Amino acid sequence: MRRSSILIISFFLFLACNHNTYKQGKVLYESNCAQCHMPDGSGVGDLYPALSQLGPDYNYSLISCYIINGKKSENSILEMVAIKGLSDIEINNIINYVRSEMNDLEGEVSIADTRKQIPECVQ
Amino acid sequence: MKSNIYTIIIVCVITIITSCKQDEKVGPLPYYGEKTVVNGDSIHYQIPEFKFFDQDSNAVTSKDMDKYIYVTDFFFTTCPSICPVVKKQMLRIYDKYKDNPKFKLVSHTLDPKRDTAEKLKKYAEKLNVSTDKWIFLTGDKDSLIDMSANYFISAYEDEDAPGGIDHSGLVVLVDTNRNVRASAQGTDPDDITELLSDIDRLLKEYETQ
Repeated sequence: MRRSSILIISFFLFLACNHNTYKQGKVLYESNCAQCHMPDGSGVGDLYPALSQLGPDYNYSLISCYIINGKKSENSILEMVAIKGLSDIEINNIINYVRSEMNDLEGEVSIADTRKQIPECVQ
Repeated sequence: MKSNIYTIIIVCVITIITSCKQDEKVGPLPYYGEKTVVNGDSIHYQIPEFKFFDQDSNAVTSKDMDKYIYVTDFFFTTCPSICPVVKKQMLRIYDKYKDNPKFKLVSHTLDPKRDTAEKLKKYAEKLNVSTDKWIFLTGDKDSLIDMSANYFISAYEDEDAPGGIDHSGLVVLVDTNRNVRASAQGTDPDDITELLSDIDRLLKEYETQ
């Protein structure tokens, strides 16, 4: 009985690990970003910019700065609030969720890249 | 014999159900609110007359709107909760009817202190919409809150709510006679899809006149 439950649990763990398409990034995106940028990243006009059309040339590491500091551009009337309390790994997972799932790009932004970017975000 | 009776019952039930459904989807849209009897005529509920100011600080009255059917909502630009998704759905409505001269969209701010005409104008620019078609109204705060209730949309000040104002994301369809004819939850894309067909039905009422 005990052995079989261990087997079942490890099977599901295997499934979960094997299916890692930035699941944490998705959950964090949905709770922190989707309200304004929309669940599919399509945004709302130019008010809430689309994240699904950033394309291959965009510097995705910059997203960590927007998460940490928020964003207020000069000609915008709305201010993006900073998202507090996320770890560098969580931020990295959000970035890669946006990059791979929404923009359909191969590869990823490494945690090393994100850790290098974050100190440079300080305003 | 017994199975025959069952068949008949089933056919009857199906007929009743389908006929009811069809009735709901054709003909004129229903009227919201209670009827009143004036001089022996029963009159449908009407939105009271109003006067607010648009994104160019021009006065807009109910009289200005009586040539159009319009869809209306209440929001404020800094609203962090349901407003972005409601605006996304309002954009769907805008995209479908932006070339229809009989149709307008009207968004009321509930935060006139921050949402000045100038700010609403910028907001419309950022939404990439024409303010000929989609009007943004501001005015006296209490009048705006009262007006939301007239549209069956609830809004009230609440310190605990995000942005200090609690309001529903209801989107309401009004005809040229200030009668409320349909509504939908602006946060629910399926509900808005139904509202689009309600708008089609209402527009048809004017074609046949």
